[in-house]
Amino acid sequence: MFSLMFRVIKENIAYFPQTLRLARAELKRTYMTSDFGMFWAIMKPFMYLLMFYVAISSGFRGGKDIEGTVCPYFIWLAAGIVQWQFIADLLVGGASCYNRRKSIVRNTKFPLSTVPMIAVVSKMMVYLIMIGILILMCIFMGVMPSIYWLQLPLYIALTVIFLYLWVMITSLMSIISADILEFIKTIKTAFFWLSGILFNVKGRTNPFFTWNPISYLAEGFRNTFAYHIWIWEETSLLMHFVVMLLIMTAVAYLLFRRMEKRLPEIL
Amino acid sequence: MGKAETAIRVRHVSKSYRQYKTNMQKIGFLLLKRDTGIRTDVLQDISFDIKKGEKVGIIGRQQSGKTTLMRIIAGVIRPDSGKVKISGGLTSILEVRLGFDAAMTGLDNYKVMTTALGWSSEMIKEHEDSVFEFAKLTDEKDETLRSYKKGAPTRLGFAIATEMGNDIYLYDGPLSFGSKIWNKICINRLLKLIDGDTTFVMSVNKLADGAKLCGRGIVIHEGELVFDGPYADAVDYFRKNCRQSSRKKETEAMNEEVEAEQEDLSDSDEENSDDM
Repeated sequence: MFSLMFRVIKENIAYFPQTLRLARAELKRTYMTSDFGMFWAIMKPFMYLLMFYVAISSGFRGGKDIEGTVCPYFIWLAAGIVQWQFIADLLVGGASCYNRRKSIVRNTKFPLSTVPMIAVVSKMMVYLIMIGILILMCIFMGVMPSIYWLQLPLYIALTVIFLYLWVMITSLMSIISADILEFIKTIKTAFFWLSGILFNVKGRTNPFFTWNPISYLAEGFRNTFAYHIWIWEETSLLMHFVVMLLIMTAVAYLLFRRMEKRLPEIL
Repeated sequence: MGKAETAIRVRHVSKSYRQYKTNMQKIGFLLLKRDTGIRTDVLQDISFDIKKGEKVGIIGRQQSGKTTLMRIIAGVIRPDSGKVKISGGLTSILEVRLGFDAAMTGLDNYKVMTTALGWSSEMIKEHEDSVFEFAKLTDEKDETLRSYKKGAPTRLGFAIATEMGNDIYLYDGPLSFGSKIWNKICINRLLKLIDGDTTFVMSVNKLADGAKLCGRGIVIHEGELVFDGPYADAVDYFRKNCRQSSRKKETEAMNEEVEAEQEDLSDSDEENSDDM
């Protein structure tokens, strides 16, 4: 089991320059149809943010800050939306990653474990810009950089690992059955509303929040920017998240081990 | 004849494909060890050696199994049984429009294909001009493939595919884009690429093209190796003995049928970007 896992990690490191080039091409392809392509990619989450801010603050929250935060409600909301936007991009969109590279998979000896990484990296550009904007917004709104921001790279890394596993699982499963895609599309909205992107889930014990990796990753950004809580302070939630990652690793391992050699034939 | 002389050693290679009607069959094949699909034998017990520097054409009708054989030699798919041993660096071109996407520019497609072929970023930069020059597309570099003239994407792909050689070079693709002049240009470019020590294996789509490139011919018919010898003899044997038996009346030499190379740049499916 470990030899395959090490190989996958090694491949992803060794082929990273290649992954980066292919991801860049994909990014360009996605946003090339319009002149301000990248601009729209960032505008979209911005619009969500504004929309939710106006709707929620003037609506049912009355604009109050979340208790326990060191920042305005707007920053709290933005931290969650930045995470959601990155995750949502790949929740469904990543599943076609092998199919989209059919001609390469079928006709070359390609390191197949890097294909999900290409999908993740191609969405990362926008994500990193969004994080940059989030940081700027913090400073503009008087929330000064703090030592807690140091854990930001850690949460980014966890998000990337989670998404890599997710994309690998969903893309391999969707090769077996197209129904998987429909299923994920259906639950995507549920994930948005039930992961605590828009409302405060701190302290709730409902298993849907405690076992939900998306919820954990969104809270991670909030712990960094809004609550100033270290990652190890919420030990039990961290353990839940790690267990979920291990389960996903096991599923991804089983699928990939069985399918890797056959992918060029069955795609 | 020392061992080092052999560049490609193929031993008792067999392969069958499976077809699945239901998802359950697919799951059984992929995840469990149960295999309930319909098996079609594609290759049966193929063995041969190719010496270093040899130029070999694999001749066969469509669906004879030669494409599968090429893919197995390239290491892309694995045989069900048997072994393939490659000694030396291998470049295999099984598709000249590798990774091409009609919505991307010529230059981006160039970058994707060369990356998929394993070029380093220095190599990609270095060869850019000469590839586009050969394809006569220097001015269209930044336009999307969709706006290219018919045949131009294939030309670009061919230019990339044949830019760099290796110890062993496998080629399965077109050798002309419409006109006779291009056919000549392509063959000359390939000849230059495989000159000397390069071991060359091609899947022959036009017997005449193969004659200019190959000294030895291997005939595959209905999944079996039926002839292996000098190229001219292989062609004779093929013409006499390898009728399209299983399929109906396609008695014309395959020279014609291949030309109908359709230009379907598989437009990758649009992304699912429905919101939330």
